[in-house]
Formats: sequence, structure tokens, C-alpha cells
Amino acid sequence: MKNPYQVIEANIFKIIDETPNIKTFVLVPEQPLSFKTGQFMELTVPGLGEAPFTPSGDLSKGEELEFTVMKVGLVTDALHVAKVDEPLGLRGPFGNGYPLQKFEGKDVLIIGGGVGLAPLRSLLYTLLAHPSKYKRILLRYGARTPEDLLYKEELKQWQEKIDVLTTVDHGDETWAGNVGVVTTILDDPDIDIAQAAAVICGPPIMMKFVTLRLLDLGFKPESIYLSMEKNMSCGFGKCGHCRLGNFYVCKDGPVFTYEKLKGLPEIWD
Amino acid sequence: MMTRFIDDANLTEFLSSLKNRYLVYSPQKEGEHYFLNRDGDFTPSEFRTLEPVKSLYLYPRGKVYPGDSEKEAALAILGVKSCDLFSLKIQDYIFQESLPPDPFYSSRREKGLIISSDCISPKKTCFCAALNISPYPETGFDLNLSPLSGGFLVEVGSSKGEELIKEQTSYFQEPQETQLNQRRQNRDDLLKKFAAPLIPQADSLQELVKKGLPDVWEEMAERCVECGNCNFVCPTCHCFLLAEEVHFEKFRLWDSCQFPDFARVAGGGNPLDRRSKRLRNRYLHKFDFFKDVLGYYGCSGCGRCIEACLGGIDLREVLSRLEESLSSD
Ligand SMILES: Cc1cc2nc3c(=O)[nH]c(=O)nc-3n(C[C@H](O)[C@H](O)[C@H](O)COP(=O)(O)OP(=O)(O)OC[C@H]3O[C@@H](n4cnc5c(N)ncnc54)[C@H](O)[C@@H]3O)c2cc1C
Ligand code: FES
Repeated sequence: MKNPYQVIEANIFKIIDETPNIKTFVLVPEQPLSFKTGQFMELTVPGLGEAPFTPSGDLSKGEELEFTVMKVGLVTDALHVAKVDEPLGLRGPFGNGYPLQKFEGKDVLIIGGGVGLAPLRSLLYTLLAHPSKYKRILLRYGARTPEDLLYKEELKQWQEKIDVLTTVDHGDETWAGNVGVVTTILDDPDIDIAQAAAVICGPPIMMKFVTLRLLDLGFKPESIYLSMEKNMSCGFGKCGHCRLGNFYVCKDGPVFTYEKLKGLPEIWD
Repeated sequence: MMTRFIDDANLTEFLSSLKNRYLVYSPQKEGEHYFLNRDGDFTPSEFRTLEPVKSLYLYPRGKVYPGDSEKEAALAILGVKSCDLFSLKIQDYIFQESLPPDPFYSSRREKGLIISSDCISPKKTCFCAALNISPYPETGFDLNLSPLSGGFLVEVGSSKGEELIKEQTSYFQEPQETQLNQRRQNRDDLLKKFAAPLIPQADSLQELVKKGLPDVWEEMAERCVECGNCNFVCPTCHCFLLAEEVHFEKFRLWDSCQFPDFARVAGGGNPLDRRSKRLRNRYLHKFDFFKDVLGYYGCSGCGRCIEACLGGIDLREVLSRLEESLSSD
């Protein structure tokens, strides 16, 4: 029987500084892993512990796996001082991932907040590999300040291919774009709302207000896809940490339609 | 189901023959409690053991990587009571049926043997019958023993149990009508001990924990000292923390949803940031989550949490108070 607690070793191949507190780690696992975009892995710092992260890179690049990690606590602090060639551990992949077939033929509105753009970047790579399958792909992305924006170079490249709008909560002298939270850049008269899917990832408060705004705009609860963040330990429906209503988010999610969750009073807690 | 009679002397021989194949655990009395110990003589215990049977399938601290579940010795557990058999349905669902299975739990359950026995007199904290769980074993065992004068009725509950009897038929006899009647009488007497209503109507509990007023949770949680005892002694609680202690070695450690950090996420967010929310979480998991997911509550009525709570929180009282909070509304 396969052991789901098994650790697959992976060496750090490259480290990219994204923002003052976010780095992207390019890992080379000792064995190739196959994935659906939106699934996550448990990333171990040897001898310390593990935390869940969703790969942020292009999953068609078989041997490499990228994780974009914000420094916030025990495991992520240790990751941020790790060096190239150091070994890390991986378990997974876990969770359901994005239901790509559901997006076909539709306007796909991708909305990220802060480090929440990480899993969405992997989704973008996947969608952009077959752009003709989707009517339009739109990206709306917000961060606190201009220097907190992730993937600054790629944002420029995406701008040439798809409709991209960015915003910051607080601008500075270098910033000529929109200032305000991400809900201020969601109105778009051209979106065919009846035929659109919205995919959201970010902090709970941002997901809440974006969802409410989209509902106001006429999006259907079953067309709004949310990546739920819960405390996770095992990753595969055993340890009970990630319970939300009658779901274990690690196994039944982490991607849910708002339709599935809307009855839960504790959805945004 | 096949039923046989075995006398005391033959039972002793039959059970000791198991030691060739199994590590045998049975309830042993120390003070006023029974504990599951290795290799003592089997005596039919009047009530359940202090520790839940899960502790032999999911150790409080169990290494899960690296490790090989196939190499472990098989366990035979004797004297398991109906409440603990019920609780294994929950553990089986989580660790075996919900995919992917936990290889350690699955192999222990598959290789293991359970010889349960009827309760004779429940503890003061027992309320299984109030949850419509039979106080004597009906399913979930390989063999069940019902004590009679001079011996036991042996009921077969699985093909593994049937094999054992067929291998050693000389120990067993066809039961007599009087023996079957005596068992029925004993079981009726046992049921009568649960006659007083201990908790609100079983079928109302899901609504009560969902809708019961916040004041009740606040007041009850005042007594909680966040020790986690209720979770650790609970036969259906399955939550754990996957910990790393040395380089890439993983351990499953029993965890408690009453601990402040249980649901904390990065950046300080914590959906269970108050004791009252954590207490309610425990009840929601048992009376709402499992009811919806499996069709029955995740509580066996064993009363261990009542016995173990340092703050004196009594699950029966909590449920009754929730009911009152709604009826006085
Ligand atoms: C599905 C999913 C995908 C995610 N993807 C990303 C991503 O792509 N990028 C990103 O930056 N973040 C992502 N996150 C968030 C990320 O998992 C957290 O930032 C990370 O868990 C923080 O870990 P930490 O140890 O650094 O923080 P801490 O604040 O130290 O700990 C975080 C959690 O782990 C628990 N914990 C830590 N140490 C212990 C311990 N010793 N004992 C008990 N509990 C402990 C804490 O209770 C807390 O709940 C994702 C989260 C989920 C659920
Ligand atoms: S993370 Fe363990 S059950 Fe979801």
C-alpha cells in the first residue's frame, strides 16, 4: 500500500526574490510528480516541519516545481533562509485542483490578492497553453504596495496576451496605475457574466468582498471558484484540522464553488 | 449468526492459543478502572476500559514515515465493548475507507482480531443507549462473548471468527435454549439500566448543536482548561498533528481541537479563536459533520470525556442546556 506520509526529497535549484517578504523556490524533486493545476503539496523543512503550498509554476515543465512563499512564521521563516542546493521534502499532490473543463468556452476572470497570485500563475500557464479553448482570459490583481506585486516581469508579458489590470492599496511616486482594493477593478462591461467563470485566491477578507461584488455584478454562485485556506496538517482528509462545515478542505477542496459553501456561517472566518 | 457455548476452562485454553498468532490485549482491573494490557488472564469486565480502543490502532505518538506496516505483529483485543466497536466505524471511515487509506491503521485493522464482550453494568457516565447504540455488541466483532454461569455464549461476527471456531471445534458446543434465554434476560436487564432519559432526544442533537444559543457555549467553555483530555480519551476523535522531529521522519501525534492553535492559519487568522468556539467545534464535528457525512453521530455514548474533563464539563449537560436555550427562546 502506498504511504501518503512518504517524503519525496527535492533540492533547491534556484531562489528568486519576488518582494521584500516573498520568494520563489525552484525545486528539482528526486522523482517526477504529476499534477493538476490548483492541487497543493506539503513542503517540509528537514527536522522542523511542513506547510501547504500550491505550485506556482508551469506544470508542463516536468522536472521542476516552483513554489512562491510568503515569510510569515515557523516553516516559511526557515524556507526564507534556505540556500540553493539544500534539500527539502515534498508530500502530495493533494486536493482537487481547478476544474478546467468547466472554464472552456467561457470568459475566465482570474482575481488574485497578494501571495494568492501564486496558484493562479500556475493556472494562467495552463490556460495560456491552449488559449483558444477559452473565450477570454482576464486577470485582476491587487497587492498592498507596488513593491509587493509578484511576478513583475511576467505581468508585463501577460499584458501583451490577455486583459490584465493591477491595483495597489497604497501607491508611491513610481506607481501610475490604479490605487484601491481589488474590488475597484472588477467592473467590466464586456464580460459576458452569464457565460463567465471567476477564480479567486487571496486573503479571506479579500475573497469575501470580491465574492460579494461578483454576486452584485450578477455572477452565479456556481461560477465563482474560491481557494480556501485552512490550517492543514496531513493534506488528505485524516487529521481533521481543515474542517469547514461538512468538508475537509484538503480533500474536498481546496477549490470550491461559492455555491457549495454559501450556506456556511463560518465561511469567511 | 452462528452461536456456540464454551465453558470457562475451554475459553481459557482457546484464548491462550491465540497467543501463538497474536499480541493479545485484554481489560485488566486496576483500582476502579479497566485498562487494556498485554497477556493478563481474560475476565469479563463489567464495563469499558479507561482508554479508548483506538489507542492500539493509532498510537498517541506513532511513526508513519519511514516505516513498514506489513512487518508489525497482529493484535487480538479482547473484551471490547459495544461503544468502542461503534467508534471503530468512525475511525475505519477516516483511516481506511476515505481515500487514500492510512497504511498503518489499515494493516492493523485487517490483520487484527476483536473478541468483544457484553457489558454487565454500565458506568455512571455511560449513555450509549440514549444514542440508540446497543449496550451489547451486535456488529463489528469477530467473536463476541456473553457471560453466563459456567461459561460464555460465543457469537460469530465475521468469517475470521468463524475460521477460529472451525479450527478448534472441540472447545465449542451447540448452545441450549436455556442459555440463549439467559443471555436475552441479561441483555434486557442491562437495557433497563439505561431507562432514565440522559440526554435530549437522539434525533434532535444535530439541530441542537447547530442552533443552540451562544450563551450556552460561552458558559460551558468557562470551565474548559484546554487540557485536551476530552479528545484524547474519545474513541471517535481522530484529529492529529503530523510532526517532523528529525530529518524527514514523520510522526502522527494525537491533537486536540481545544488547543488554541488548532485552526490558526498563517498571519494570525484563527477561526477557532475562542474557547467557546472550540468547544462548539467539537460538538459540531460529532453531531453535525458525521451525521451528514455518514448518517450517524460521531459519539458512542461511552462517557469517557465526562470522566476525563478537568473542568467538569458534562456532554449530557451541554446537550440538555442547548435544548433548554432553544425551548425558552
Ligand atoms: C492549500 C493551501 C495552499 C497554500 N499556498 C500557498 C502559497 O502558494 N504560498 C504561500 O506563501 N502560502 C500558501 N499557503 C499558506 C501557507 O501554508 C502558510 O503561509 C504556512 O502554513 C505558514 O507556515 P509557517 O509555519 O511559516 O507559519 P506559522 O504561523 O508558524 O504556522 C502556520 C500554521 O501551522 C501551525 N503550526 C506551525 N508550527 C506548529 C507547531 N510547531 N505545532 C503546531 N502547529 C504549528 C500553526 O498553528 C499555524 O496554523 C497555502 C495554504 C493552503 C492551505
Ligand atoms: S489537512 Fe488533515 S484533514 Fe485536511
